[in-house]
Amino acid sequence: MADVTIDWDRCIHSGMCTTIAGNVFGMGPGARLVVLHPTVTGADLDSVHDAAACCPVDAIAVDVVAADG
Amino acid sequence: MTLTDLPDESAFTSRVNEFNADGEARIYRSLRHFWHPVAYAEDLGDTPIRATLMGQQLVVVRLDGEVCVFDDLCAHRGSALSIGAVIGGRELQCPYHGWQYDSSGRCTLAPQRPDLAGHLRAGVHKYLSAERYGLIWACLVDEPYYPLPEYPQFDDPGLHHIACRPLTDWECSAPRRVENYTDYSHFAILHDGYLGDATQPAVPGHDVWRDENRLENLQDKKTLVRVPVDSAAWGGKDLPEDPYVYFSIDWRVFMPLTCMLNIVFSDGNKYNLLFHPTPLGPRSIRNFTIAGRDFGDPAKADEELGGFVHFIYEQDRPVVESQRPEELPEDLSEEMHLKGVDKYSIEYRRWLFELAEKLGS
Repeated sequence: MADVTIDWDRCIHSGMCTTIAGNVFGMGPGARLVVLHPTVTGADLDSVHDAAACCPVDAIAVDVVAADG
Repeated sequence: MTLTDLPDESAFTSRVNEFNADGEARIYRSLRHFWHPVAYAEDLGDTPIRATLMGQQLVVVRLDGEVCVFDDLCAHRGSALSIGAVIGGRELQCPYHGWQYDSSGRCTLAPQRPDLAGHLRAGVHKYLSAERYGLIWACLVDEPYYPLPEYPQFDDPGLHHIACRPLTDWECSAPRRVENYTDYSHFAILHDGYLGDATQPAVPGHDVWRDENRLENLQDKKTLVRVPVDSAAWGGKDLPEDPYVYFSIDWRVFMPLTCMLNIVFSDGNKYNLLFHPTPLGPRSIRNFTIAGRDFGDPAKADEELGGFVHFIYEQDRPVVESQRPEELPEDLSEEMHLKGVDKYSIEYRRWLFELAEKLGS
């Protein structure tokens, strides 16, 4: 299980994370990023890590708070 | 890293880049607050020349040994002073009725009424100007936001510099052109065989940071750019037996438009560029370029170095002129950006938009 947080000062709303982890991130009104699920588990955890690794401005932090299982 | 599969096809979005007229206008207006080259210094002889900067027609002239930049507009009947003449090295004379102006822009003589000399309350507006690095620079405001860029390579006696020709005008915005000039990831594709190798399109590791008025880019020297040696473009350079030439390329942009590139080959040869896309209007630029190198025959530099620069520019031209919106979209989310690839572009846009917010109202 992990907590997902966004550095809103860095986020440019490119939407890259929404294409990689669509269960967790989405685009809201005005094409602004929204975090649909700030706490993730299971398969979503992998995709959130991928999204963080692909974020062009390193705005995504993934804080693992407990091992899944 | 192994990426997970995309969830479904809906994840793919077709983007429609929207024109933000307010944002674009803000970026353009902010450019008034900076220095821009308006002519090559070597083109300014004993006669005035015409220049354009952000829609304003200017006349560039040497009076009393000083480079002067005025509105290209006689106070009497609005004719262009740039088609006039320099009288005695001290005065600029209008071709229509012969009114004369000194280096301050003050009218010193209306030949039809010489008795009024020194009493006419007429003049032409004079702009800040400077002759530096083989260029004549001007600024449309009295207090430029940043000082003139620094180009110490120009004074290096080991480097031979030229003003690149032909001096071309493109139909694009100046920031789009800067972004094109400082974009690693197109070298291997658009300039395959000349500035990169299409079989190796990955972008070298690099650091990007702000320093005073500059946005710096420093390449990780462990990952050199590779170019096939059979490229004739590096004319004048001794080519190795190796099938490839290797070099590192670093650059900085003196915000918002002055680009300086340093290329160092694996054999130690150096090559550098000062480039500035002077905005003639919102969608029009002039490509001022000073290039220097420490190899080859100086007598052939115009042909070899200037020819290479022009060749590369003509590869870029149709692409940059095709970009929409013409100005960089003020909202960073309007275009896609890749991690490790588009970092310079992102940071350049952030800074440009900050300047536009501050200066473009």
